[in-house]
Amino acid sequence: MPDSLWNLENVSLAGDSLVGNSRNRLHEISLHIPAGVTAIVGYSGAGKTSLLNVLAGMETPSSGKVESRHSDTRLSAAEFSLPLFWAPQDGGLWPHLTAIQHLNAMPGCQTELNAANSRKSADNWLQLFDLEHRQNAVPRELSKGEQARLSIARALAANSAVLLMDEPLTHVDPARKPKYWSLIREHIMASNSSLVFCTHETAVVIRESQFVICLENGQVIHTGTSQQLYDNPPNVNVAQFLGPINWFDREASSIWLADQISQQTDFGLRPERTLLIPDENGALRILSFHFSGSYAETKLEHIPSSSEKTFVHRPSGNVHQPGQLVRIQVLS
Amino acid sequence: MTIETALWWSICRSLLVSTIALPLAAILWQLCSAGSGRSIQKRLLAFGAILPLFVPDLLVGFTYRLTSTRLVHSVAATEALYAALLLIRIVSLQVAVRLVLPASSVTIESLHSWKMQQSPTPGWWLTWLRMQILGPLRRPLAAWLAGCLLCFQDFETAALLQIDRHPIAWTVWLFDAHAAGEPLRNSLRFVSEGLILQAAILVPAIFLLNASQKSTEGLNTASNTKPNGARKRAINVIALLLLTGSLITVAGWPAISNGGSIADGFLTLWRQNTLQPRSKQIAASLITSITAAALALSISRWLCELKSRVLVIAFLLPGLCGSLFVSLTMLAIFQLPGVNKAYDTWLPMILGQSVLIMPRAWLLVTLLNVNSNSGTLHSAKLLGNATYHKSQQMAHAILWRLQHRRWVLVIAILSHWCLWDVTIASTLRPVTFEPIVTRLYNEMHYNRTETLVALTVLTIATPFIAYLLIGSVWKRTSLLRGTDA
Repeated sequence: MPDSLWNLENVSLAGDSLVGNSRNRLHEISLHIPAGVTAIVGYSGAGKTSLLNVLAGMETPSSGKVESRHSDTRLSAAEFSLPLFWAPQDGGLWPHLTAIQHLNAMPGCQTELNAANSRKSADNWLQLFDLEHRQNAVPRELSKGEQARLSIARALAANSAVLLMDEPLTHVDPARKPKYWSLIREHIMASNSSLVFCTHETAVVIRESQFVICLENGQVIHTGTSQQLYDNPPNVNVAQFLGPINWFDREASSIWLADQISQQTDFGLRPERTLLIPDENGALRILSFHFSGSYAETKLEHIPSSSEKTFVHRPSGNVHQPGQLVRIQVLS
Repeated sequence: MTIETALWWSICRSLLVSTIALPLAAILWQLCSAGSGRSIQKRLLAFGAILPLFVPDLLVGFTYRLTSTRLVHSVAATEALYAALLLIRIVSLQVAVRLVLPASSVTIESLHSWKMQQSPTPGWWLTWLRMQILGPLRRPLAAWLAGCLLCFQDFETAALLQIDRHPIAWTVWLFDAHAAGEPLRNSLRFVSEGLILQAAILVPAIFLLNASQKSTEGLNTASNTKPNGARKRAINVIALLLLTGSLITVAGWPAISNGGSIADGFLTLWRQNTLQPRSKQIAASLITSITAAALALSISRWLCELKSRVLVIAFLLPGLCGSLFVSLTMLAIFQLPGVNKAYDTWLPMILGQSVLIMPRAWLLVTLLNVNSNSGTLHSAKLLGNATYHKSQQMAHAILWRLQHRRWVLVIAILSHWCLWDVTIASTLRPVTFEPIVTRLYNEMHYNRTETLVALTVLTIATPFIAYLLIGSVWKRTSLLRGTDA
């Protein structure tokens, strides 16, 4: 497996004028995508799908250079049947084939010369993605969630060196998503293949990816490891791609955190590192409080300066009431 | 009679026929698009509904020419016969427009959201009207405009039915004047009068097409307006009766009334040793029409990628003005110094046919683009890179089914229109070549019914067999490419 899957140099992708979009969907992107699992994040319209389309070769950049180094694996790694396969946002299923035929068409289901074995492998995929009862259904007869699962099953059955997935499992019920993600993860690890996917789900990015690309308005605003982006984001804009964060400059830090952290630059604290402690002598007063499950959101007033700020923090188990005096504790 | 009188007759007929066709096409469309999925029954109904659009005018006109002769003493009856034949084609066209027009971006939900605003602002009705035109009214309006245009441009059926002065059609008047020796300059002036009237139809039609292209929803069905229960059954019965009546009139009856002469016709051709030269004529005409279709298709694919709408409209406008306008304009162009060397060649005819079918080619390409899921196709292309032959073959079979087969069908449809257009063939053909459609008209003119019928069958059958061959070769090549890769 090469260290780099793609190298992009000043890649731009023109807007689709037919749908009234004249601005570039991608604007002079220079990027290096490593082997492993990479997540592309960004707000709606940031260019995530456009970037995946360019990587998949479905769209040709209007300018710039795309060097696809993943195709080297086709020659070097005999264990892969395909250099690249994908699961596009709409599934990209073939309307005239049944679910089982989709899988039987994939090289991964044909590694055995014996037809019976081949069928078994396709059956396995259907079973793993809870589609065995829908094996003879064509895409239009499947629900959105079933289509999404079939698309992912097909992509995994492709046995390709690199997989691209555009918002995978979007329409799948949340309860079963972790199960399917673990199937994807196991497949990637077992086959030593790579995955590039885009998503809006921050938990998935943190859990599944090793490398993150942040896009905004068709431009790359950050690249780095997921851990680095989570723990030490360069700015609040990028930090928010991986979920809620409290952002401080030096002055704010001294007011709100009472100099618990002595850092020269601006920094962020994730909710799990922040706790509100009731304190009768505290300089902070609760204005409002909202519990959101894994974290809580509280609006505080700094009494001496009368300034206000909303904090996301770890739920302490205490019910905070408006007017209550508190202090912020930073957890290591 | 003046050109103005002929124009008024044509305008009034167009408005009337297209308006009457509107509700008929609506119920036929309901029948074709009712229910979910794409069953064989639905496909057959849709095929039957749009079939009259592809039946050559020559066949229909020739069959009903005798009826027209019997009605020669009654202006009303002659006009009614012509209008009825036009109505069948216009209903078919309107069903096709309704079936292929992509869904509107103005949904029932967006209209309801607009209605929910409590205090309408000044000029609210303008927005309301705009939303209605781009929403629920868009499909019927586009169908009505297309019907008006086709009706107004009709030449061949009118020419075949006209025994005395009726049916009055401006196109026939113009062609007769031109054939009687009217200078080309005068003919073009007359054409321009018709052109101004067509512009009144074309401008809103282009606006609606433009609005359609922005939609990405694909084909739409009648599901939102589907009636239920007894009313639905009654509408379906009416639609089925209408469909049966149309097919009998334009396909069944011409086949029955002329079918008996087929064997005699072939025997005559055989005895006269003309079967071989006529077959060559058909082959040459077919090659010309396929060339013109391929040219129009290539230009249309390029137009679909163009950003300049003005340029797109400039390419489509001449074809939208009808075959008479195109042939007379081409005739004038190829008489200009510099290009007159190509006057007596195949070029004017091929170019004329391409220009004529350009709007239809563009529409078909646009529809293919809208209805082809690029993700689906690209998945098959990626699968084609597999190291396993079976997967490669599967990928090429999928691509054939979802993409290549459609292109063969589009070329077949476009070249069918080119092959059967008599106006361009007779006006722009090289002196040494007689297109088969011109030969058919001559056979009809000399009342050689048997040979006419036999040649018509041969002209219909040859392309059919040719496309089946082209299709199977294309499919085989795709699969072989998959095996060799």
